[in-house]
Amino acid sequence: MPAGAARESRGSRVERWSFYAAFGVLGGAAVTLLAAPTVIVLITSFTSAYTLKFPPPGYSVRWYRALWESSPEIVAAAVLSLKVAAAATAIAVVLAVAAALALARQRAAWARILDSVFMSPLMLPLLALGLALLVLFSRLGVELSLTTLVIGHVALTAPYILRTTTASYVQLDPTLLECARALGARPWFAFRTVTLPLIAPGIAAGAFIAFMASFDNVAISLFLSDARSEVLPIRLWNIIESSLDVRAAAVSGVLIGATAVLALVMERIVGLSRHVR
Amino acid sequence: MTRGGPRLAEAWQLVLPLTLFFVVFVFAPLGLLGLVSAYNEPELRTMGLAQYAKFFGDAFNVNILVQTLSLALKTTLLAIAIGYPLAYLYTLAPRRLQRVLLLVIVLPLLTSAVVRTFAWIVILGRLGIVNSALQTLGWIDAPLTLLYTPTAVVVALAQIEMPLMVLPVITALTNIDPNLTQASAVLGAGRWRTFWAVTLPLSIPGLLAGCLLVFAAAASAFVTQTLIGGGRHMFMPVYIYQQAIQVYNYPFAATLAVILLVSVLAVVTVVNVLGHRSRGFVHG
Amino acid sequence: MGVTLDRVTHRYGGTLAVDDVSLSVQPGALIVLLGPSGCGKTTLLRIIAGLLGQSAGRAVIGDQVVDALPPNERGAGIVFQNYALFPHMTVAANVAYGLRARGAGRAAAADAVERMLRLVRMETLATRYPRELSGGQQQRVALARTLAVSPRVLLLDEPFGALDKNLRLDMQIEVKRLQRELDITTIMVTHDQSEALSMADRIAVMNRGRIEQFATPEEIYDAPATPFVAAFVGTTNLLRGRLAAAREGFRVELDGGGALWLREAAPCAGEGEVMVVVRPEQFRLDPEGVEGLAATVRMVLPHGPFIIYELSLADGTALKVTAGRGGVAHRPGPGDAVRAALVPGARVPVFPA
Repeated sequence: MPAGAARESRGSRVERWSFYAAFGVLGGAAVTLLAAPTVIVLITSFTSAYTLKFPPPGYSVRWYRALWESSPEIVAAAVLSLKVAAAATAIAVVLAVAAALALARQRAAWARILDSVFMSPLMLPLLALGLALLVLFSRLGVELSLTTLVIGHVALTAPYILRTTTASYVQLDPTLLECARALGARPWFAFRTVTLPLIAPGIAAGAFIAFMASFDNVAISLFLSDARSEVLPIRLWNIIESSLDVRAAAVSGVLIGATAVLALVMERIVGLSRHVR
Repeated sequence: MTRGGPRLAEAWQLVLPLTLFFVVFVFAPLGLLGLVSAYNEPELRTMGLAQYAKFFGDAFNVNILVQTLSLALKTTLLAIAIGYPLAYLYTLAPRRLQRVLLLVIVLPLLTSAVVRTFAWIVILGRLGIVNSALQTLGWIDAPLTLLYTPTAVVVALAQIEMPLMVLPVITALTNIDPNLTQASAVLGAGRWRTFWAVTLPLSIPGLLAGCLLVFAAAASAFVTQTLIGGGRHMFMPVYIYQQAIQVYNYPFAATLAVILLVSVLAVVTVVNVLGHRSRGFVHG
Repeated sequence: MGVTLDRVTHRYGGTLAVDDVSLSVQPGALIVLLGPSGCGKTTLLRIIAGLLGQSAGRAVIGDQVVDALPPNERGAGIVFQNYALFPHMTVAANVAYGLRARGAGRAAAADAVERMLRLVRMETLATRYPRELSGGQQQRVALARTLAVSPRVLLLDEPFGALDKNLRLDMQIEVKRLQRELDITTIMVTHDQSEALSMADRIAVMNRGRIEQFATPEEIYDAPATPFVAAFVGTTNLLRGRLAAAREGFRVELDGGGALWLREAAPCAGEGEVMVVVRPEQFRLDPEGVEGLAATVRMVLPHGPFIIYELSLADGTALKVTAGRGGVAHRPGPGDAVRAALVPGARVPVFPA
């Protein structure tokens, strides 16, 4: 008996198309909105004019050159930011990885509470913490310095490393460690040869995100910087507020470019995208 | 009992360093902040609640708090409107495109708030792209002042904090068992019904997580509030900075900080409680 | 309503998940797709449901070619291995879902829900949530939800895999009863051969994307069409040898020593190298040691109602023979020499080697 071909009802087809169209348009608009400002800044940084006119009347690399040749204070600020970020991240890695190992598989209430406490800097206004630390140091009679700045940054970087390390550690099959112990490996040996290599990508991803967060931070640095030293984001802010110098666009361009390159490198090495959700 | 994890004695040792750090450099300072807020005058002579009375007694002050929280709320709602469709689009994309999309979403989070805010200054400035476009289209003669308006702050903040909404929603959407949407389809539901009845409800925990992150970030977004809001619109963060660093009135600044902290914490707690109730359904 | 698959092929990446499969299911029949994991049975099920689009061929439900229809318009019903109950809806809301999706009003849907829940004997749990139910209860709700929309064909994807053994048997009976009562065409996927043998009207044994045999359980068991089917279903002894015609039938000279006489040789009747498939229960031990193949007992394994003897032939080839518990006066033990002869009238498939 010959069978006739059934066709999708008109209602179903319209319904399906409207669904994909709606999300396609909204989602596409969202991606554009997400990326457009960055692209616009990059384009503006290559302007030949002295203003931030968009579209630029002409293109040149003069602002990047100005940055490179005649902006020692900007370069100094960048170096300071790098130092602070590196120091804070290094300390935070040691503290947070240890804590992650202790808390990751604990179900007890105290562990859950500690975990929330350690993650709180991600949620609460860092501004308040910056002020609080300033008050603490001034009451203790401690002068503001690189050290006090780094301390503030450790508080802000630790949660990122804790989060990714915990996620990595939780995904580790506990049977692997049990096998290692059953085969005679002592705890530190098992940690070094089994656990650490397997959670290293998670730690690295967290450290990278933490480093960038410290480098970019304004709130804590605002309260804990002393008069002599300025971190890059604050220097950039000053440039923008005071003179609206087009060098700000060049600085932004360099920062965006460097971040993008580093992000791609981290994606290649440790699969960054796997650790951000 | 923990499988594969350190024994309790070892766990204590591992977690001690960070705990000590947090006690000394997070709790102690915050406690001190609360203490300082309880002084009646900037010279820190007598204790009392004069600062709080001063805050709540003056409509100007309360208004600043209201403006800040309302800004955070509006930003959150806008972030949902643009962020959710993006997260859903991610789930429809092929695997390779998903990796790219994720990096595009994460990159802004890795760049400084100053840079991201600067981008909006370029866009909304008198010589920026919006004004150029409007003038080219002939809709206006002279450039508009788009910066320094409350709307500009909301829009800029929503775009800047969007990734914080998108990431948790993506996580929630990808955790939904594909069999559920397939079962819905075979039972006769079209795409829209499946979305409203199955996908959206099951993604609510992620949505709430995103809302929390965006709300907290927007309330504390010092840089964007100041650069885009300008001097005309005052929010809590810049008020705190001003009182501490420019006026040296630490008790009042501390009071402001405590009030901001408590407000954000209150919202976070309420939403978390709601979140736990809805989570029960998802992990059915 | 019957289901027909006409030369369906599905390519996934570089591999052929389904290879030129044609199948015709009678209306009201319960057929089982049986095979090892990766054989394409679940892929086929999803193609029928419309969740997967095949690379070639046609799928027909009733007298309609359904390839162009999306899953929500095919009139099929599918129950997944993990039941896929909506966790945020009550049992009643779950069962009502399909009806509401098709535009039924609350009252009409509520009536249907009550009827369906009574059918699967879950009417007291209508206000519960899926996480409060046991595995068996969840499955019954999943069935009720699917049957509520009166599908033309019922598709079951390894439905009993997640249940423990005793519950499995009960649910198999339950599903068979429902299927008969509603007279609904059912296609079930499983890798469990005893399940297939007990439930199916006909079984399609699949291997690597192809159907090796589509027949009743008896035929699958007694007259397997290929060595794969013979080996997959039930336990078997695969014996190699040479086939030659003989008086009143055929004679197979076994490589392992000894010979078997067969009245008929099927599917292969040509002389030459062959493989003979004998089931353990088709051998009987002759303790007097006169008739049959010479073998030594290696192990004796009591197995509930019968005993499995692990023997070895002259050249070491292993032979499994089952015998009932009672009746044998002297039970052979390990190391004994015995003879294994074919039970009279045994149908023994012969395949070209």
